[in-house]
Amino acid sequence: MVMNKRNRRGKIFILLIIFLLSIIISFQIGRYPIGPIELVKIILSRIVSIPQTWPDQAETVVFNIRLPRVFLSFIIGSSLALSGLLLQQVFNNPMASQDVLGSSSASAFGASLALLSGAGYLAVSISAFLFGILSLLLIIGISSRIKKRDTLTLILCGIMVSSLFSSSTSFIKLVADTEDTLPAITYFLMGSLSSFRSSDLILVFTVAIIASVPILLISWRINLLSLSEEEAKSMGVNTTRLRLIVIASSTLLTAASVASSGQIGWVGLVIPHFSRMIVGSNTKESIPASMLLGASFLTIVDTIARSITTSEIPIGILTSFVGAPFFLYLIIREAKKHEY
Amino acid sequence: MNIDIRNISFSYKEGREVLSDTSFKLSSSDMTVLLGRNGAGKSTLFKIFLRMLEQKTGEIEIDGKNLQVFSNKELARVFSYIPQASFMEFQYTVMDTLLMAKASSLPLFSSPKEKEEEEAAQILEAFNIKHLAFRSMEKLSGGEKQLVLIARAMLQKAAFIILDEPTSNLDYGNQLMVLEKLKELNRKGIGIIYSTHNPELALTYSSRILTLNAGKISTYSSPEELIEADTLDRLYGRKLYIKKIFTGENERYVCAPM
Repeated sequence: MVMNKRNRRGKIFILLIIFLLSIIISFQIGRYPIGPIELVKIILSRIVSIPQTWPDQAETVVFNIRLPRVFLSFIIGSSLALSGLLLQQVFNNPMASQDVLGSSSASAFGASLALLSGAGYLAVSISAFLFGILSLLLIIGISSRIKKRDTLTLILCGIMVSSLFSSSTSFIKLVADTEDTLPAITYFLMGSLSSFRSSDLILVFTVAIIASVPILLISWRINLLSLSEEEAKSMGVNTTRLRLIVIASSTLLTAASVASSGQIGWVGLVIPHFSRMIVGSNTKESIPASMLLGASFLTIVDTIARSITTSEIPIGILTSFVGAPFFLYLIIREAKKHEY
Repeated sequence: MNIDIRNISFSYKEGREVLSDTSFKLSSSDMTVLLGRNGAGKSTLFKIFLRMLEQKTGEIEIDGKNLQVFSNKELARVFSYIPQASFMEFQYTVMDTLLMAKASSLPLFSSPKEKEEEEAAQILEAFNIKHLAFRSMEKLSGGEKQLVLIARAMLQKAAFIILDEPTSNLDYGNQLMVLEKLKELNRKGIGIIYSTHNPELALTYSSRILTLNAGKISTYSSPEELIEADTLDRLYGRKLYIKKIFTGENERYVCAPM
């Protein structure tokens, strides 16, 4: 019995190693390749004094370009994956995610609206958060009026909400200044980690910490959302409070990500699935596993996005290439499950 | 533990009472079965006990203390609940499912440790299903699943286990197995309250029978009392033939339409 738990913990440890490897790889690859030994030396040189055997340029690349970029990609990756997992738990539906429910479209609309008025990162984040919450309230409101609580209903509600907010975003684009604001909004919406400002980095990081720490603390208790309302209540769980905490932090994580790097789709759907396949459904393990896997995934995809062609590919395009077919696979699997 | 239900009424819509000014008593020394037609309000009554719904009038007292003043955690010590259909979207192992019952006794930031796992393993052992501990719930048969849920209720250590139609999705063999298990737990001092649509099983596996008809609860302390009063005929609107028979030492009841 103890073996089983050890087994799952061991798997999380392996995910941690994969995560560290992805960071090292991401540091090395780019338009200015840096060898592994050189990389270790450059990083260590900040802590202990090492005779400099590398060009100054390499040091600038590591600390001023790669470090913030890698840092941002793993924060966004883990935030999106955790946010998606939380939505799946709270809606008790493995098909739920920011993209499916329309909350990322809503956050993107909120962010675009703020960009239109020339606001800074903080205002963009707040606006993204408020519209993200609004979209989830819409979904909860609609689905509580429908007795039939199945996956299809939830997805259809999501499509409706998503379309509502993407049309609103289109409207913003229509009225935006074609010289300046429109290109900014358009590129932002594609999802990219290249247009961030270093000053935003601290803010994204702070928001991610504020939203994930409470979740990590109650990670086991989130399991109870998988039970029916009656069962959970009879076990003494304050389900309303639990749901509120989970929805708030999920939305906060998505909003902070969208505000810093646009709509990077499908990470929130795909990663939690893989995490559950690896460590099982218990949120005590699936939460840290999703965060690590999401971080590794986005770090790797971002490395590909910035190094595969001469001009950088917006990362959102790449994640959609992975996510959309995976979503179709899930739909087919779900249909088979109910076929008997 | 005793529950005193006094003059409770409940309605979802104005003027259409599901429970109307009805009173009865429950004791944890009994295996109580609740009979009633579809939509009679059996599940509603259970939801009132769990405080998912609140009665419009009347009072419920548990050992002299009003139900409404219990904290969530205290109430989890009184009732554990097994719904009619418990389906989980995510694939949990039997052990993970069982340990969820510990939510009521663990502090907010904590999770089950070895002590709780040991406790859960002992219950699985007593139920003869320890070999299922790390099987996914999805892979279990209906009967095994029901046993796991009863084991989970045991781990919660509540005075009463409430079961909403625990046998409705089971084959006949599993129906008997589950009810025998419940009877065994009742002999050990755990109050059982369950609902069913099968009068034969209800008469055989109970020490107290409640019927819910037109918003009123009637209590019968023995099957004979119930049979004599022709209660089931009135309840289901059919003339029924009910007879006590003996299978070896055991008293059993057969019920057939006339």
